[in-house]
Amino acid sequence: MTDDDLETPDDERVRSLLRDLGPAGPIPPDVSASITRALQDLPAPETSPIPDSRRSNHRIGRWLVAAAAVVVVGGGGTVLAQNLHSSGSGNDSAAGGESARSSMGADSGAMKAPHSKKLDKLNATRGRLQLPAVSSAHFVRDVRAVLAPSAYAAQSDAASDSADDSTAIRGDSPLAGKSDCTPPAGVPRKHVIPIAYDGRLAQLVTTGSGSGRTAAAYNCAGTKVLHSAPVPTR
Amino acid sequence: MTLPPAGAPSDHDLLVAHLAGDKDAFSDLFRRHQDRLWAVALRTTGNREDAADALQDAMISAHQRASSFRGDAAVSTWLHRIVVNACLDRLRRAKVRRAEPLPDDLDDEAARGRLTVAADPAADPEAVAVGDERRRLVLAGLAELNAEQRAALVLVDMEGYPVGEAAEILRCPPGTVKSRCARGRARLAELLGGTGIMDGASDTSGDATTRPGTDEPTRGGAQ
Repeated sequence: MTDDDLETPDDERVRSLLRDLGPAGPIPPDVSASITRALQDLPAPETSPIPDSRRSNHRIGRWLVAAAAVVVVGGGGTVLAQNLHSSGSGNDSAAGGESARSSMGADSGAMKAPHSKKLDKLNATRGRLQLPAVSSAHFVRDVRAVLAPSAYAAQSDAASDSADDSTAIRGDSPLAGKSDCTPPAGVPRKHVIPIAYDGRLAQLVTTGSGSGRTAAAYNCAGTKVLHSAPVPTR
Repeated sequence: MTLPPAGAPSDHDLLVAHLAGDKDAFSDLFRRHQDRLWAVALRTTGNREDAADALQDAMISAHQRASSFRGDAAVSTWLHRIVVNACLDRLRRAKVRRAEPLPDDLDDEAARGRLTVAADPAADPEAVAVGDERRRLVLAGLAELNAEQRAALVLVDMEGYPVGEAAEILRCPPGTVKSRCARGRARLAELLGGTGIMDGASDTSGDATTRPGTDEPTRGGAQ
């Protein structure tokens, strides 16, 4: 195809219309500040590609840390370890305990997902889980606390390494999927973590994985209230 | 390309300093190019929220993978490439997402993210309304294009990048950029055909496009 073939009679008109849209304008100060803050929160960059062996050692290391965490967290270690290796197999036994739903004042809906069962079992041994609070002043720190390394986080990393890289929050928190809010458009409910923001029920969604992972907070109606912040998992 | 002030470190110097552990170097690099990167992100994604997220994702990625920069293009081109890819990823993930209607209150949206050009208060209200409607239709049409065509039109027709530089950013041959632009314009003309705005599209002078924020004329465009 030659350049001449590419020209159409309406070409110049469309180009004029596009030009008439005008400049997009400077970056909004809040966006600039948010990104600058995010960049300053990041760890030093990798200076060389990570060899495959190191990556696999990392993965093994995460599993070891996860296993250790399960033991240390106390009480629920045996149950959780069993779940980590039989996730989704449907052979979990019912367990008592109060769910995170009740701790956030929501109704007690059916909790069929494997992680819901884990939550029940964890709650049975650890007591109630509190709805984590996230503030704008310490968003990154608070989000990291919500997504703090745990047996769940390690499991999610392993899953996201091999599968979906877009919105993988399943298993990051025992509260994932327990929100009764309206999820943001296009985000499945199971990918949402309920949080408290500004004294109200809100929701947290992460996207990406690894060093590019970010999180954003939405209000209960699904409107974004806090911009994305990096929450790298490694 | 935004030139650094006299005496200031070059983009490449900042990237090297960043890799050497200078914690402020990458932020300085970002601030140097942030307006143009924002413009590309905003025009490509079509909305402020996605643009902010895509830009942040891209900058985090660039920050963490700075060592992958091989120096075969300008640092600013590399940054633009990462931003465009982040935007395209978002558009592809959205897949069949339809064009989102612009908010009713364009002034409010303009104040927050400037999807459109804020009107001159002294301008004729009727002309302003017509202009707003035209921009609304064009943006809606742009949102209907496939991601690759849209990115090409944003870079070449809206942001005024020469085809060669757009090709470097999009990592494809210049001919492909021209082809995407041509097909995108044809599709846009088709989409806008029933609206009547194709009949008297522009009241601008027909002079060569200048790159926003500079007096630098484009060196080729997609002629």
